[in-house]
Amino acid sequence: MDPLEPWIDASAARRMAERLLAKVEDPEVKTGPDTGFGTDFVGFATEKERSETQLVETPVAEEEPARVFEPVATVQTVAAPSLPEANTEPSAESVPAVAAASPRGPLLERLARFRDALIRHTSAQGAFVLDREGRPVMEDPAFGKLYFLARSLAQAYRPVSGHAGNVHVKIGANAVLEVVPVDTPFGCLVLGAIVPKPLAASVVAEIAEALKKAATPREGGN
Amino acid sequence: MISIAVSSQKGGVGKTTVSINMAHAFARAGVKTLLVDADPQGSVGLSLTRQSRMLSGFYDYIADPGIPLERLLVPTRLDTFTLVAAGQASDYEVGGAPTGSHLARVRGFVRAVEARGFDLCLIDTPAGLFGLTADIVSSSDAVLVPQQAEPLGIRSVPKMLEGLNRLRIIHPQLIVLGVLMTMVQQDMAESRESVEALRQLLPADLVLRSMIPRDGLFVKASARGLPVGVLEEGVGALAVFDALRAEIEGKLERSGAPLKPNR
Repeated sequence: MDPLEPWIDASAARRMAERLLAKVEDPEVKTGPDTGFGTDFVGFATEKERSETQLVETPVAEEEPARVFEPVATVQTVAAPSLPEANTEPSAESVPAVAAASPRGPLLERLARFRDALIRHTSAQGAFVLDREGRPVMEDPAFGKLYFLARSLAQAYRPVSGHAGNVHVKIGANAVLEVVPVDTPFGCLVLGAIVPKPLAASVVAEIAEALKKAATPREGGN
Repeated sequence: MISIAVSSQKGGVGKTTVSINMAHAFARAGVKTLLVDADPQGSVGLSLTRQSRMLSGFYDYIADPGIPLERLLVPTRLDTFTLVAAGQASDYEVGGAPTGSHLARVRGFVRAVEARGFDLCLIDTPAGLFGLTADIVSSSDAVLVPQQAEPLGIRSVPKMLEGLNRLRIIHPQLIVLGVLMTMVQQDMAESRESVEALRQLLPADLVLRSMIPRDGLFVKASARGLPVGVLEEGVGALAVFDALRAEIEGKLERSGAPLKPNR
């Protein structure tokens, strides 16, 4: 008798088990002077290559952080090859390009930049980001009442292959709550965006990608 | 100092028995060992000290980190073996607090234990790999996962692996010492087959060679408030836990975190 056979996916279990035995490099931890989490805070993980690039970028980035949203040329070169169908707003295409061009900073800063770009390009009235349990990661006080709804929709959501990972619900005459669950290195984040009309699948996919990038502590990596 | 959380996905797998007797085995070998009862049922305390319900303990520290660690330490007849009971605050504690709520305080506790000069801090955690248990595992150097040798217990293995993988995201350096088969009954086919099946399922490094047999002696020992190895007829159990200690020491060494007694 094999007591496991009917109950356990042996290959999945083995994969998970092997992951547990894999060695992980120790991330370099740096405590900033203004972390604001008290003496128990152990610091943010940083990557070597990032700190190197920051040395070069710092004078420009500090001068005027808002400028990082302005490199129109970068946006256009990314957006030009694949314009989505007619009902999408063309400007929304630039969201991931903008996020990708942003300098890396602490998570909340990157999420705030992501939100600004999202609002600018989709005419959203607001946006917030929750974790899978519905706890706010980036709040939008004007739409606090929608957190629970967004969390419930995200939890009820089951992805279907080939479809954009989102659900939406009409919450007003000219307002739709778009809920986009996104798997990121920080776990599943749930974006709630209050937009005038439902977003096209391709736009949602790019917004999801942009959020994922914004939540990724290293350029292009997990 | 090395800290080891003794944790499992499922309850009733013999975590407390393993914790008490393993701590005793390390202490006997001269390792200055602190056994911490982080299980709100307070089983370690109940097993080893009759007055444990009167003692301040781990949960009191979590509720108020201002309490000096010294006040929580309960000496035993072995110089190298010290206990921290669950404490008075354990009644209201945990209560479904989400993972991360107590992380800073648990880490503070482990740091205080290290500063006090212990070589090994063994923490008997509540069942489940979430909430406070997740905070304890995330604050420890290593985790040992006792698993009952029976088909029903082993079906929880995927969930346990999932839980441990989640914790390795929070604490990438966590050393997974592996699964320790407990309550093994060599005279029962289902128990033997469960052991066999688990060894086939998981990589060899993830299942400890040592196994803990089901034995009435453990019940006897806990009724007398002693580690089983202390009983006259407990020589066999002593050997089992000595072997387990040696295996764990070897694993820690291979993982680059050798146990270094300050002798």
